[in-house]
Amino acid sequence: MVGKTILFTSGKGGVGKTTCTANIAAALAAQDHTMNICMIDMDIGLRNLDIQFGLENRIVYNLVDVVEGTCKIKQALVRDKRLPNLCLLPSAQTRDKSAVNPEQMIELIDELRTQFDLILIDCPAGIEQGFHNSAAAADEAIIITLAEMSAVRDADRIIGILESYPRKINCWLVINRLNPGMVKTNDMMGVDDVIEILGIRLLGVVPEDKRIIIATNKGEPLSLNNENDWAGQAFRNIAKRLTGEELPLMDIFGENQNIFLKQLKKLKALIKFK
Amino acid sequence: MGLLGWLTGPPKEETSKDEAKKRLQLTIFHDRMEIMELSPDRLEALKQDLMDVIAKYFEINTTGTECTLEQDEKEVAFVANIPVKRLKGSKN
Repeated sequence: MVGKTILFTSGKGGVGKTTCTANIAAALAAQDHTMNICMIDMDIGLRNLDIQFGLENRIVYNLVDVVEGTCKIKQALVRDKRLPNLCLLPSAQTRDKSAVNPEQMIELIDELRTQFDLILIDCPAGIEQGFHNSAAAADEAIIITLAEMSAVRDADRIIGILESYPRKINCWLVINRLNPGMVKTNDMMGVDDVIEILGIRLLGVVPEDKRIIIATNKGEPLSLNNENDWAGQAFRNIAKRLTGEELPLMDIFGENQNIFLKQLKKLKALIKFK
Repeated sequence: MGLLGWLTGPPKEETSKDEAKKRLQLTIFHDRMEIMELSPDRLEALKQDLMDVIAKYFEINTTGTECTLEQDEKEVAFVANIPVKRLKGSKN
């Protein structure tokens, strides 16, 4: 088995790297139970991926323990409560980014490749050592951005750094937390604007959705909830595209809605209002 | 406002999105230049180096030389325009 390694990165903090990693990992594991997936939380000192899955109380060993040889990889991996084919290698909370180096990460991931089909790396914010540790063994990168100036600028910087790596890393774009209403009123850049600026292939668009916060409160990724919800569906679509399925973008702007149906809804709303 | 203006409505105001996009494109362009370490001074030095090399083979018009950085969707391109008078070493 030679597992593929995918990096989730953004440059800027707070754009949803960890949320995207968790939701896409959960959707991938749920859509194919034979696919063994390992997530690595690379944010040493600021561990958070465990929270997304409600696994914060199950951590015994961590990434730094494995790299330093304190324990075996198997001892540090935490299995998800719902999905037996999904594992987390948690980050250390008491150390910092310099506790590991890129060579050690390549060695560790080469080992994991023999046991897992897919290795998903949750990168810390910034372009310093934490980033280089995370990118060292990546085959592909998913660049998470928002349709906001600073997030797009930082994403461009990250793409530039990844392009300067001697190894070719395929870059994909995910636009997170898009607000369709603001795009419609021209108060937020749209999908096409962001693609035009960054010039990389689009993997998906995730609409803004308050249920993401509720899902984190419960420790269960939204993409596992099979309701016809916005963001959850967007993550499930991204997971399908990652496994080769061709899917059109979700209709978050309501453009494909039947005009007749729209009028009917308006009428209904009007009647209700009265 | 003439008849045409009346028909087409008032000129469209620039939306905050347009402003963001414009500012962002310019910022990213400058970021990339800085990362490539191409400050105006270095650009001038590059231009001189280029002309020195070209001058070995051609007789060139030094005043008409232009060097610019142009940006398309994917990357910034370095474009040099050096007018050539004649090939060096040729009889005429």
